[in-house]
Amino acid sequence: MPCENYREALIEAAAAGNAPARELRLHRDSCASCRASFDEERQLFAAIDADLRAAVNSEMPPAFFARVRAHLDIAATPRPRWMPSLIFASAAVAVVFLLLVAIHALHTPGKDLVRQLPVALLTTPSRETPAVPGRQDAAGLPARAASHPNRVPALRNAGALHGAASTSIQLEVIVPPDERQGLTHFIATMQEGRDLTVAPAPNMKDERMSMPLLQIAELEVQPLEMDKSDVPDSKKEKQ
Amino acid sequence: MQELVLIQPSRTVEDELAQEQAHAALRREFEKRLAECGPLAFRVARGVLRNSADAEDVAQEAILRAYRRFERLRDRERFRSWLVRIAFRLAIDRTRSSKRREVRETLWSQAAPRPSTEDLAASSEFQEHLDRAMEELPEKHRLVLLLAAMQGHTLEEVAAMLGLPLGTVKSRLFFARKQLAEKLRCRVKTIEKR
Repeated sequence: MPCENYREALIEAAAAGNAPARELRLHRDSCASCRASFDEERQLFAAIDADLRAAVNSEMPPAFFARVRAHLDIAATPRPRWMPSLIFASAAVAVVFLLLVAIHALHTPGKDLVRQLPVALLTTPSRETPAVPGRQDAAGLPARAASHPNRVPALRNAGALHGAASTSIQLEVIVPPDERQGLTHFIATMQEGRDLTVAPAPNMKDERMSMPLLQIAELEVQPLEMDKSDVPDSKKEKQ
Repeated sequence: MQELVLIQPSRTVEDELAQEQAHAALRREFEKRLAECGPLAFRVARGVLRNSADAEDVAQEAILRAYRRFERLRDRERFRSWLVRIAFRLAIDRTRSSKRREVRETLWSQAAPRPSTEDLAASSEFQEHLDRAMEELPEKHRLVLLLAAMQGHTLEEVAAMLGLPLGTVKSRLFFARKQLAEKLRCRVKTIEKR
């Protein structure tokens, strides 16, 4: 029997952890190479076993059972009986509320339009006043009545919208910090029912406002020049 | 004539009380079995994961699952084997998911330099190779190998725990060890060639 076969059998014996059979033992004792290979295999299996034992028989964390019991307590705590009905009721209320909001939004078409309008247009047309010639703002510009029909033609429509929606809408306006005071004054004026005055801000940073006005040169209308030879056709025919 | 129905209001209270008592008895029984088998679940998980923190997580999860289904377990004597299998399966799942995550992170970063032969020789090389070789083993072989390595577990006990004939356990153990040795030999040769 060649050494290769013995070696295979010796490896199997080492894997099984058993002592080799008599024939194998005899060969192992007589063959140095097979003995070395068998010893190598035994060392390998010993290392495997040692590693596995170390991994498997490691110490348990001391708080392991305490933590497990805490988890078990949480898992064992029964849900209150009213919990499912409470969840169901909350869901039902939420659905009804969403439906109401959706219906309300569908039946108030002007609402979004009003929100999109600038604040200055949301004044009441019934309090229209003509321009105030004597009043001037801080920048020295003449104050104008915002409700003047010629200057703000869209105001009537906006006012109608405002009349319809102002009862139920709380407008929110985002303004820069330096314009906050002016807006507060504007709102106070509206609430008190006083005449509303709106003036352009002195330091408008908007580039569109700082553009120079378009100037159109005056048209010159010159009289038409007529040649002397231009005689009406009817006279030519008579001649 | 109007039909009268007799309502017993105390009935529901009694039912609740009986239910609570049953729950308490179940919990007591579970805790008793847990004291015996809890360490086993941890050790099996530790053998697969090679990490105590992960093993604790997995063992806790296994115990919770077992507790939730304990009521439905017909043969309570099989609890030990049942818990071991749950812990083993969860640990395998955890290994796979962490391996996937590791692959993703490696693909994204690609910063980890390849270790040199000297580094490999210096590191706990054998441990790493053994871990990889273990992962490549069939699960049934792996479980037998882990249980047989536990202190105080004879092969007969392993066979009883897994509900397998002793011969099957022995043959699985033999093949598992042989496969492990073959894989380790291959890896060592590969490193030596590098």
